[in-house]
Amino acid sequence: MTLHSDDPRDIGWVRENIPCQNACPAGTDIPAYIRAIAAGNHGQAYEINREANVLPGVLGRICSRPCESACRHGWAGNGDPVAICHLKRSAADLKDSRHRITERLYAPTGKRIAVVGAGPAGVAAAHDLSLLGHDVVILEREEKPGGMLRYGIPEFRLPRAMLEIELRNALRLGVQLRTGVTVGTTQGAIRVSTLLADHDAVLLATGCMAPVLLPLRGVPEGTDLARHCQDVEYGLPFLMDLHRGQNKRVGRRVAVVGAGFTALDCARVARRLGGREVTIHLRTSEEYIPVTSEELFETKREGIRIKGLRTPVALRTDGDGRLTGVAFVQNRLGGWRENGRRLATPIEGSEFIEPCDTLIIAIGQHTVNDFLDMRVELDRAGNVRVAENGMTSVHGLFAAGDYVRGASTAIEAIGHARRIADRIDAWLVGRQRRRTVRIEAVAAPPRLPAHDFIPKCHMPTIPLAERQQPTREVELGFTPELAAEEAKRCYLCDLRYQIDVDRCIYCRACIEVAPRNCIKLARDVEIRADGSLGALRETREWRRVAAIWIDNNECIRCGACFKVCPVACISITRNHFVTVDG
Amino acid sequence: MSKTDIQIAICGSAGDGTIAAGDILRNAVAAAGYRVIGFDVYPPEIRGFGKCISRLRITTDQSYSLKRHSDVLLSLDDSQALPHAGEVRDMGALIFESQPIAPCLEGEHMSARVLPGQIPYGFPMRELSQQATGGGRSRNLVALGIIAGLLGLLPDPFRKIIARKFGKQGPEIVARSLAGFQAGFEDASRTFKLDDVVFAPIGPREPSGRVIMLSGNAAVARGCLDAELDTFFGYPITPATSIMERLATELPKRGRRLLQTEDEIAAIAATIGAGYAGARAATATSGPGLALMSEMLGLATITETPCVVFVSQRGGPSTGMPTKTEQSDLNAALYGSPGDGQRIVIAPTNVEGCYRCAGKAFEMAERYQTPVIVLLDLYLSNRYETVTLEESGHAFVLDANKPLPRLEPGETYRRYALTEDGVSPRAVPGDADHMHVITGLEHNELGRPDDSESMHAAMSRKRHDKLQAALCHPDFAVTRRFGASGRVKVGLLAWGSTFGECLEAVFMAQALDIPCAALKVVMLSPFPAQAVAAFMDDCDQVLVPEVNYEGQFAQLVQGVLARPVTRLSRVPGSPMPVEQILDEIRRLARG
Amino acid sequence: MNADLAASPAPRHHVIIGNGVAGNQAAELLRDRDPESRVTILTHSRLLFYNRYRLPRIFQDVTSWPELLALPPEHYAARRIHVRRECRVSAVDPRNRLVKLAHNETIPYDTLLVATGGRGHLPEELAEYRPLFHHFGSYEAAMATRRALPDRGAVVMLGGDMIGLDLARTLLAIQCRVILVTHETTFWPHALTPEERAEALSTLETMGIEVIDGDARGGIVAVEQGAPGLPARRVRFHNGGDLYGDVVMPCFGLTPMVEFMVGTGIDIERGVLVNPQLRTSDPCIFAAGDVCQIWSEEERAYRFYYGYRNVRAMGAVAAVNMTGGQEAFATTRAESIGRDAQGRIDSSFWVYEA
Repeated sequence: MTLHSDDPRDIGWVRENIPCQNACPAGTDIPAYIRAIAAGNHGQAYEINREANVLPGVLGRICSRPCESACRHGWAGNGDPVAICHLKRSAADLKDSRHRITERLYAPTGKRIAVVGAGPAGVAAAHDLSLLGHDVVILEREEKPGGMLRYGIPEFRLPRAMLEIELRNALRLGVQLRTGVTVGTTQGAIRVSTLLADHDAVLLATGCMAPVLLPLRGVPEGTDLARHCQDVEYGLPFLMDLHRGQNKRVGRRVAVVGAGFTALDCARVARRLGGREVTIHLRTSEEYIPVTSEELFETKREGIRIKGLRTPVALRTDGDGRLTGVAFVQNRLGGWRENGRRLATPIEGSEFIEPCDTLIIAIGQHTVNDFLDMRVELDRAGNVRVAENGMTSVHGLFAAGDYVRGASTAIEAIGHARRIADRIDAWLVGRQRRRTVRIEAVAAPPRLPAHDFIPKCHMPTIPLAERQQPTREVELGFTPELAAEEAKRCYLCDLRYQIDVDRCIYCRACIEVAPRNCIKLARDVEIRADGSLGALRETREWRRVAAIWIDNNECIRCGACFKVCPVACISITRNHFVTVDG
Repeated sequence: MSKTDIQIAICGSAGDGTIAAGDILRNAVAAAGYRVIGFDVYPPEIRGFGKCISRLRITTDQSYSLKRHSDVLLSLDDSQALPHAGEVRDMGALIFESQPIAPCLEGEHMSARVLPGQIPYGFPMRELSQQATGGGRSRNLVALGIIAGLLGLLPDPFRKIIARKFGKQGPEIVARSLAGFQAGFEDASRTFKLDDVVFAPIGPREPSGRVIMLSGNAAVARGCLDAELDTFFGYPITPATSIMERLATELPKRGRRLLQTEDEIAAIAATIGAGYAGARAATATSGPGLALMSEMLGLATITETPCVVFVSQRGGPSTGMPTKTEQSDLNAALYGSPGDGQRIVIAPTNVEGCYRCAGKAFEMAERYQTPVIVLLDLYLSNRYETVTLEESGHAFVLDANKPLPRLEPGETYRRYALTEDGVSPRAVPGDADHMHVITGLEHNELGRPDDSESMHAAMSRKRHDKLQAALCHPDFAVTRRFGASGRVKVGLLAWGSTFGECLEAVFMAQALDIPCAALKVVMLSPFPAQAVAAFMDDCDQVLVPEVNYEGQFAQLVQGVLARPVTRLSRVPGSPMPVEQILDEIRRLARG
Repeated sequence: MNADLAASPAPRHHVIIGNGVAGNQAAELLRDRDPESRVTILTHSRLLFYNRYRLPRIFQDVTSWPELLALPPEHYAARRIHVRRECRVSAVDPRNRLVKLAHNETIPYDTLLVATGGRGHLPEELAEYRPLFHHFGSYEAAMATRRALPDRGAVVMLGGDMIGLDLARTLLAIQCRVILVTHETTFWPHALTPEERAEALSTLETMGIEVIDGDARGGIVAVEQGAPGLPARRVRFHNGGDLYGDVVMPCFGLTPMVEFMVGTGIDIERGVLVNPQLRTSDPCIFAAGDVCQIWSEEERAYRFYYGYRNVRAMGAVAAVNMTGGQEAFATTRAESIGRDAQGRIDSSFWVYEA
């Protein structure tokens, strides 16, 4: 039995009860693809992923995994979150080599769209727009497509061969890719106004790659330190040069300043290029580093030291202008920033010197708008201001990804870009699509209680000795056995266990077998303004019990209640979003 | 070789499997060769809201009371077990759930109640049960595994008992139960042991018979069967019901029958009728039922018909406290029937005694042609002990009737012939040439009504005097002395289950250098005046502890011997604490 | 007394997380200074307070744990200090002043002292070998190590912090073989110049410890079970060569145990950051002992202070300030390493009296 529902309560249920999908900026249907992996259908899992995120193998390696932080299996008392990202990768790795991707193609619309930038946002948008029937061309400055993926992320985290295949698959349905093409105002560059004139819509997805410059005492603002000292580099340009094929060198003692993905990547690259003592210096502390704990562990394992509470204030050079050290000032932790990070308050008079011969600065990136040849409204952060549908203040000129929101993550860029692509499509041809909930009855609990005790499977990595080779991928990927084991751990939160209050006989057998505090004696339930059900009001007095109710928030979908109910009044349904036209 | 004396308490909510766990534990340690005494506390509810505690004391040599302090407490439900944390001695173990699923306020978890001298052990019992068996129902078996693993008990006796206990429910349930036990056992075996609760190994014992675990009521039933009980009539009443339940299963296997009657009056009437017909019959009841039987017991007395009544005492009067123990039916047992209705009243003091008194009761009933009341109490009925039974042969005499002599030609059979010992040879209906009548009216030797002064006096004398021989009934000790011999400062006189606590108190007093002894009185009617007087002669002070308010036994002693005693009459609803008796002994010893 | 403390009518609840030297010293002083209050110590241990520095004695005269206890059980009842064992703290909610225990119990506090100390640090590259190592941080771990070490067996000590070297003294005394693989954490927490280090290492050698230069060997590449017939553990080095021993003990210094504080908003770097009054960034939460980094005005930096005397002083200072005082922690002596009269290594960290 299958139903479709537009009821806000059902939509609200899916949104609130599948925390991984809700946390994913692209809205990936995670339980669905993990279910497929558990059944051994890796190709199907790959395609389910691809519906939301067009580069599953890539993201399966480098995604920031906001889903895992939200995963119910990682909630207090439930253990460790499911290794969702590693499973995503395993779908890509383990799918049959002859697996063929099929995609739904809309009829041509005759509309022409230019996308500037072949990074994750540009590629995702271009893919979607071409499927929707539009004529898409991508203009990319570098020699090869990929943006941050190819030029910002080291090969030992993301093998290039796989990146190539997935980019190609994303663009195969008619996207015209032109590389080595500069869009801007310089000589030989294509002007944005020209693009606007020649196309029905232009999407700017140039990313956020200009390094934030490090201010130092006594150095004029805006000085590019990398130009002044040959031993100083900025992180992202350093990586981009390396990935363009240039020979990069580092000294013996490398100091890396910064706390994000780029800083850690630079540190690990520096190790592979011969740095013997590589240290990452943080303004605040490790608690506030946004990278995953696995990556932090591998970084430390590779011998990289992390030191906190310091801000660089000056460089120390020798007579030949070679770097001998960096002067830092000690910090205190200051107030809170919006993204949950802390401010660092320097402590006067606490300067000290860390000796080093190479300095890599990776303290952030900012967007550049100087390639635009027209006036475009900017927001307070200096990024282009866009409306709800992604259009800038210039008619027909859209923007998506890091270019709009500042340096973020690949999955954010992909999610954002696909939403904007949908808006562009609606703007161009008026097509309406909406999200609805499909509800399918499930006959029996699909998991075994023993699955809840499977410990989290760890990603096998290559031994330290083999990591000297800078392009050798560190993570090996799950074997089919590991993938199957880890997939069993997913509670499959898209399942909804519900007691039919009219048929319940209040025998409490379900409460006795409940593994969590998930079945409650309720006297009342809060009804929200939109009609959806809110918090349960519980009671300990038997005579005030109005219903025995499964708290779907605590529920880990183990099925024990279903199996024990003597009157079979508990139903199981699978609830997930589908996008339909109209 | 060192001796074992370990008391384990398992406490949970009704429905947690507390009692089942206690049952498996006591059977397992008994199978391993230890001696056990155990007692369970139940709530009236079956599931949900009541407290269950299963306590057992495991010793090298049989002990007869529980200790005030346990060595181990395992909590299956902290909300029930919290008040009992103080029960565990220093260096003893408190075992509790380390991952309860429901949140609790400060102080509502067992870890908050652990005293500094005790050792806390938190185990994830629910999770271990889930992991091993896929559900939370085997938590009590996980708990047993933890006890076995932590205390170093061998797992095999447990496994055998578990397989036997759940065998009827099918191999899947057995496998699941064993998996739960194993999970707890392994986890606890890996845990570093900080407490000092250690089992001393059991050396080889002299073969003296079969050792089995029995409750008081089970022992009574077994005694009845070994005495070749023919039939049983009963009406259910707490705490005697399980005697009937057990016999209901066993009698048909032997081709015999049991009938549940409509009330206690019918039960005793049928018992007496069966006795009249020559069969061995019995009934079982408690105080309120005994009251209903009092008139019919008078009929059995005057018609000199054998019958056996088991009375398991509980809190009274009236409906009283059906699930609490007491010793307050003594007066009713001795004097309850109208008229001069003396009968034999015996009271075992332990489970093995229950077995023996049960079997012997039939001998006495037949031999002295009188009702025999066997007094137990709730504590004894529900208490478990390891009991040694004789390996083979009959423990009891199967026909204790006085042989019926051949009639001379022309002689009329006289059912109530006045004999020297007061016992008239008894014919039963169907015996050729021995037709006779019996009646509840006072009668002559032929059984015909006769209310003359001389006949009533002769028959009254006959009915009373014949019972004196019971004081010397073969193979039955009506009293027994324990403790110091010769002159003592304080002597205890006690009966029934209270004797166990008295014995402990006597040993503890002796350890404090107070010369002390105890006399257990098993036969209460006829009263062993000589033995009791001789004992009292040896004592500076005589203390009579008993669990009833009026001091019924003290009253009996003082009434028969006209000698003063000190009473310790308390009605706690539970066994009298040993410390209380000891305190009295010490007070009397100080003089 | 600050206004907050003066105003509250119900007895204040002082909660201490950690049952070591700092925590217990604080508990005593809290009881003295605030007689009507409730004082609760939360610890994951099953044992009452014992001094960890006495653990090496299980190799000698201490045969059962009651002998290790610093105070008899009666002491805690008499002083009304509630020591709650088998209580793991899973989270702290500073806004509502609640401590959450792993077994789902919530405990409200008026003041909170974090005194959880440190656990033995294991460098990331050795993390996968954790199951093969033997530890000495608790009574249970120490007993397991003792059982695993045969008579006159060989101990491979990695790192060699002062806690490990203290144990090494006892091991030498009972005629065990001690093989030290040096590391940058050798002699932790002393910070030695290369000359001082070389001298100290040679002192260790004259004491009978076999010193292996871990750096020169390129670091450890693997730790394995020894093959049957050989000692139980084998350590292999990056530059080739290997070592055998009956037990391998990591002694790489301590890492503060602060996991349960992450995400509470309390300032943490490696340890809990406190001002000289040992107050954290929350006015009701204090920290003392190996777990905290104290702001030092002279050094203009946060730093750790180790050793029994310092830790005990911190416990006292924290208790004073939890009950309205304003005392600042001051270390009593400079820390130094040297030689005793017999020419053996001696460290100011090995002084265990007041």
